[in-house]
Amino acid sequence: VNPNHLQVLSRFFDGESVEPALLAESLAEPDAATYLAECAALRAWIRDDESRPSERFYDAMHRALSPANTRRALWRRLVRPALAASLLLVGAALGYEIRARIGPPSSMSGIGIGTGTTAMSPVARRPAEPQSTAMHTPPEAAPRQKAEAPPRPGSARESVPVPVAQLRFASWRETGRGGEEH
Amino acid sequence: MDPTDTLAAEIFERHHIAVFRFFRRLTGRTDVAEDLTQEVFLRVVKGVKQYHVMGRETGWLFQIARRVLIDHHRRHAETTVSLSDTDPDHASNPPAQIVAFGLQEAVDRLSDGERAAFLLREVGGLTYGEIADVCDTTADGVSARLLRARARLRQLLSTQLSSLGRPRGQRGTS
Repeated sequence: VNPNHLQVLSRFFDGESVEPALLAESLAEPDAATYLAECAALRAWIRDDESRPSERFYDAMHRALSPANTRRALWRRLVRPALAASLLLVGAALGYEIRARIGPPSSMSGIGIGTGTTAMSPVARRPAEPQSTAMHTPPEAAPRQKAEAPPRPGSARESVPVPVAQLRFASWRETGRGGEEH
Repeated sequence: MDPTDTLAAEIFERHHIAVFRFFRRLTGRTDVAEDLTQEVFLRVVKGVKQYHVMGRETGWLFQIARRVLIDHHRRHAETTVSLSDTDPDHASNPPAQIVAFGLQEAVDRLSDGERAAFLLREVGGLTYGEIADVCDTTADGVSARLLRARARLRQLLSTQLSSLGRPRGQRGTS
């Protein structure tokens, strides 16, 4: 049989793809049927094997696999939850620390947690006139009023020299008699 | 139960017999075949997540088997056996007409590459593409190896194969 045809038959026997025309040529060879029959006999022969691993093998496999299963089970049942709890604690601690540094948000007083249709808390509905009045007061006004008030004795304002009237004697002349003459 | 554990157990159930028989045919020893099969499935348990990526179960499994076999030969410092086709005619060739071979002896007389390809195909049931992956060759290379392996086995087992019509018990020993 042509070796190329044997190869086609071998591929065909193994379920691999072959060209139909080549397969037809190969099957037309005189010994093609014998070749396929012997391939089938070899396959049946090699697969005619009832041997199985011994009990020792199965025991060893069981022993070898059990510790691995136990370790994985331990990981699943203990280490993973502990890790999750640790992460949760670290997150909470970080959140607390950040909040302590930044301080509570100013809008917290306006936020109410209500049920039903109430969206605003009573705190938020409180009128804000006093606060807004204070905020619109010019900051210079109060000190100016205080400056116009009389200074208290002993205060720092008293030490400032007060302007005094200056007297000028326009025609002053001294005489030798101890008297003064104008 | 972890799905990977279940998967490893399923793979073991499906394939451990085939892997064991593959090793037994390859080494000719039952105890060695058991040890190697055990090693294969220990590696399967460790690497079963990789299987999800690779897909093809049988090919993946026999690639592990190949590495286990290579490691085994390295450890025992035996004659270097690889699944590459380095020396197709390494076996001295006593006339097959004179010596009646049993199947195992005939398989043992194949080259390493031919034997591996033949057993992966007939015992493992791998496709040419899967065998090519396991043996680091091409599908055409696998086809050539299988053709040579079958030619040689037909030659060595001609007496037994000529008695195809007889009942199984009267054929050559395996």
